[in-house]
Amino acid sequence: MTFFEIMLLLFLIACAISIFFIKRLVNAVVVFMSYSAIMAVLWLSLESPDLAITEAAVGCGITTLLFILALKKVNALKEDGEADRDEHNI
Amino acid sequence: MSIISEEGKKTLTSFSDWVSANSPDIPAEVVYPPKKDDHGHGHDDHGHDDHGDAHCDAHEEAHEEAHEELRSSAYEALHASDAPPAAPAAVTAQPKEKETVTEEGPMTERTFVRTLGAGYRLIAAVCGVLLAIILLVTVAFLPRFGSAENPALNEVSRRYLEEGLTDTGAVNTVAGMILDYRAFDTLGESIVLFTATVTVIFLLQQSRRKNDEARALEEEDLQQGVRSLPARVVIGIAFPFAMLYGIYVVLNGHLSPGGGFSGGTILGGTLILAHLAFGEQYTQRFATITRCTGILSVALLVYMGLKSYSVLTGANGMESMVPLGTPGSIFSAGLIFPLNICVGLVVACTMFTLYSLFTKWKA
Repeated sequence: MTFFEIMLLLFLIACAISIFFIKRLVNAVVVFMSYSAIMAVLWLSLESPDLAITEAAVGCGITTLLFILALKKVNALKEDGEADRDEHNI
Repeated sequence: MSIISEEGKKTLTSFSDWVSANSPDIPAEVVYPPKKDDHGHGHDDHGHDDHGDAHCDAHEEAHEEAHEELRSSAYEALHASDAPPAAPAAVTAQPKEKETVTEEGPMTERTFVRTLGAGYRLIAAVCGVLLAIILLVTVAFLPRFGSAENPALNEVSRRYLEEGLTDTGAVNTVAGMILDYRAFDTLGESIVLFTATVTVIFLLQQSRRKNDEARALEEEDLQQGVRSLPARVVIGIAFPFAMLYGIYVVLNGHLSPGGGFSGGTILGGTLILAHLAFGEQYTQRFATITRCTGILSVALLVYMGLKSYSVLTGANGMESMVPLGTPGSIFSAGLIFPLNICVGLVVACTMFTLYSLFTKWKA
């Protein structure tokens, strides 16, 4: 395992754990997207380019778009939506 | 400057949409007065924290003036937590007994939720740590990556790798596996996507007929796309190239990594980007929901037909009429080439239909 792969894996774990502690949902979606991007590079380094393409397209592209669309629909992109969420402790 | 004020108006209109959706008796024009002094007045009355209450205040004022009684219970529950410290005019104007109910109800509920939340967090932490330990122990017993004694390296994968090219004619063995050896599995996945689309259409098309007036305001935003110029320019430049790349990935699926699923996802994502940037006005020239659903159904039927033929010939020991061709050329690998196109169309149409249905939907 090369130094590059170890760095990627460490960053992957950091992304996965940091999603727990992010309060704003939009930021969590962006971190989730970066998780997918790292995973795509890792698939490529594991010599499975098919999976890498799919991971990049689905994980980075479609999932992020659908997440952000859902957040927009429930008005969670605005600042006051965030305040409400903190109030209810969800 | 004019762009900024437009933006502000836009958010206000969308919020008033939400209000009129909750209490349908109020016409949208009464609910939403976009005057500056109204907003300022509201700001003096309640000492909210400053972020984002521009919509909130204007909305409260307008609502109070229009119909207090029509205030929906959902809205009340949402803002009951803000009410006690700030004491907005909307709450004090309400009848007495109603006020006591709103004061008492959330308090006990909130303490209950808080105690429950503490216990819940403890349980969640214990469960999470336990799950992590179990998974890590399991990983410790897994065979080493890429070692020759791997159980995954059995006669099945060896057969696929050695005979795959002569059996299926596909240079890309993965495409040969998922569209020839295991095409039935891929058919199931396509049907899952089809079912998801049909379900979403059933669920969302009914609510689309409601509150047409409220929708008309947002329609403009949906039709025009985003206002941000950099986003429009970048997406406008990238759109044809991304489309071309998606088509390449689909068509070249049996020769290079990729195939129907990944290429279809790229195509669907590109269509979604175009819808996002240039609005429905632009995308409905080539991709409407009805057209996409039609393409989706036809592609699925063609897939089923082609696969039924190959199952029929394969099970009866007959020679397939579709030649395998020379490996490496674009028209090779028998049925994998049309099957890839079918899967790509199914995936792309599913993605785009889901997205455009969700954007049209209004709660």
